[in-house]
Amino acid sequence: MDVDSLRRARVPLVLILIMVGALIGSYDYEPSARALPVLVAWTTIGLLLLEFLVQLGTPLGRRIETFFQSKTDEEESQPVPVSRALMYAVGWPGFLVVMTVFVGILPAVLVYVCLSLKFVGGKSLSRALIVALAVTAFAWALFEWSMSYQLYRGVLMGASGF
Amino acid sequence: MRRRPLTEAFSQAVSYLFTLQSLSYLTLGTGIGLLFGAIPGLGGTTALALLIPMTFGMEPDSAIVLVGGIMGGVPFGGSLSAILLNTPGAAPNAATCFDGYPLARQGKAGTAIGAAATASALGGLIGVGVMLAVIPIAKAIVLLFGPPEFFMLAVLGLSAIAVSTGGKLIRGLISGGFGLMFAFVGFDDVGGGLRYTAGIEYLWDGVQLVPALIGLFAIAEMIKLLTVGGSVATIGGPAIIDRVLDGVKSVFSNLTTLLRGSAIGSFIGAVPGVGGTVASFLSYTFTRQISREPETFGQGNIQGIIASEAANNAKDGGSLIPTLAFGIPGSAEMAVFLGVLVLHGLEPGPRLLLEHENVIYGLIMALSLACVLASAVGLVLARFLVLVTRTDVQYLAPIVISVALIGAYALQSSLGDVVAAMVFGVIGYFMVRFDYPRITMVIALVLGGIAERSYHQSLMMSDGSLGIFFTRPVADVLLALIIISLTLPALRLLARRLRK
Repeated sequence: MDVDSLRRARVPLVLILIMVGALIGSYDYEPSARALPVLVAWTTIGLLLLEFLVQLGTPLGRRIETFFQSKTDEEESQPVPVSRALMYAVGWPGFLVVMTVFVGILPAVLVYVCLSLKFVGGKSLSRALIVALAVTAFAWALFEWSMSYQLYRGVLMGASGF
Repeated sequence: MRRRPLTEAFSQAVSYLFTLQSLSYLTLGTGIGLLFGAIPGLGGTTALALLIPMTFGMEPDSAIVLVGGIMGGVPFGGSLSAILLNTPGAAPNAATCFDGYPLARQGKAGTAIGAAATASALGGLIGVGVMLAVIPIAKAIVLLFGPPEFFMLAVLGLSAIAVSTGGKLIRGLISGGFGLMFAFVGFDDVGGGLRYTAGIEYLWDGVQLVPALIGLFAIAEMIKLLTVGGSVATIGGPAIIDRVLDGVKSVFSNLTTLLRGSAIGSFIGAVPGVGGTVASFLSYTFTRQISREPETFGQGNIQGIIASEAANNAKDGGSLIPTLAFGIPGSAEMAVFLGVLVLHGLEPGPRLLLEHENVIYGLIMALSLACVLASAVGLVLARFLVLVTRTDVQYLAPIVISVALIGAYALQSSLGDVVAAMVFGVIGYFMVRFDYPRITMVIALVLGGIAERSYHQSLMMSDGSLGIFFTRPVADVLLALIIISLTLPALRLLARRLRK
């Protein structure tokens, strides 16, 4: 059992904890409401235990892996580096969502595309602005102009939130 | 009332369709369908839902032709983004990603698009042909399926798709399990209470499929590309499309795959509530399982594209059967289509077939022509569309993310959908990184509601006895198929060892 196996086995372990939480929560509901969720949760926990054994790389795990033909793509399942690129990749769309809530969809898209191209993509400001304007114009033309569909205006512009 | 001969209604529909006005509506509908199909997250349901008000002032025949064009154009539009961006325009196109995207990365996007266009057109035509043939016996087929059969069909859909995930059976089933748990979120139809909502009002209606799809595919893919950089296509050089014809030819050299996919699509499409996602994945799975080279699937095997696209397009003809004949929508798209029919005073059901045959045949003709038209337009545009794969991801990602999130909002004018799409985007990204198949989660989200409803209805029918799932012939056949699909990898391994 090497360090890599232990690290890979953390994923099913975390998922088991999540599913156990859901299972415990299920018992708060009426028997008819929890019947299928409980069945699914127990089955999934069982499968996660199998996956845990597979990832640990024990002899039993290897047998399970062979029987179910459940091999792991080594290239895909590398540990996720919490890199600046990942932070940007998740953070910028998150910024778009937050901006949308406050200023509405079209201004948020304009600002997001422009800033993303400038600061993440390293493009020139003029190019970033042109692309941002083109995307915003496309969204406006498709939804607001051709379909008379009003996109969200943002809480700062008087629209209601969630 | 005197029933007109079929030929009379058919010829009336043909003569109406081949007028300048109808052909214009058809072309417009096909173009809209291609556009909505190609934009991840929008799809046919959104296109129809957004365009219903636009058809209000139109004649029913014209509205039906426009709608037929949209329904014919959407599937191929979705396959374009599946091949070029690994981002299916809609869930049924997801199976096309498996082999379409690897081909695009190998610089063979043209071949993939050529095969998808041809399989889409022919699959659509076969589906419509099946619909024409099956309408007289449609009622008997649909009536074979009761709640136990629907439950078994949902389990079969899930297990068959988990098997198709290329050696990730356990993780595929785990993803399916989480997908089912997501599907249980919200108002419980049976007990009448709320489940797993954590006090969030948005979740009272459950996890919405379209934002989840947008997140799991469009946003997750863009996050992944942003962390890697570069472009979608790993092969550099100029974007030369010189193998489109190879793709077209490949369909004719794999006619069995085409016919099998079309048959599966027509059959699954006709089963209400199951839809194109199951059709395309079952077709893909089946083709992979009976292939002599199953290991080449997922690496860019052209048969994978043909199987999924033929089924995806053939299912439209199939799903029209319960929609028109019984007023039971075969899919979400068909449910919206029912709204269009009702808006124009056409009450779906057996009377529609008797009293408005020309409308029905007009729709069938429109759908057939739209399938061919969309593929022809797609082939012409392929040369330009492939440039998308060469675009710097720093340009592509913000644009796709913006349009996808706008699409998520547009469906129900809900900010909650935008947040949900983002959350599922992050979930989808980590699923990709840890090698957990996303598609089984999607299928589970689609089938979770049907499965639970059918499960409870079955138990009510049997006074709580689980025996009802094992004592009905069609349910037994489906159970046998579930067992076969789950044990097939092991059986194949055993057979290989015995051969050695």
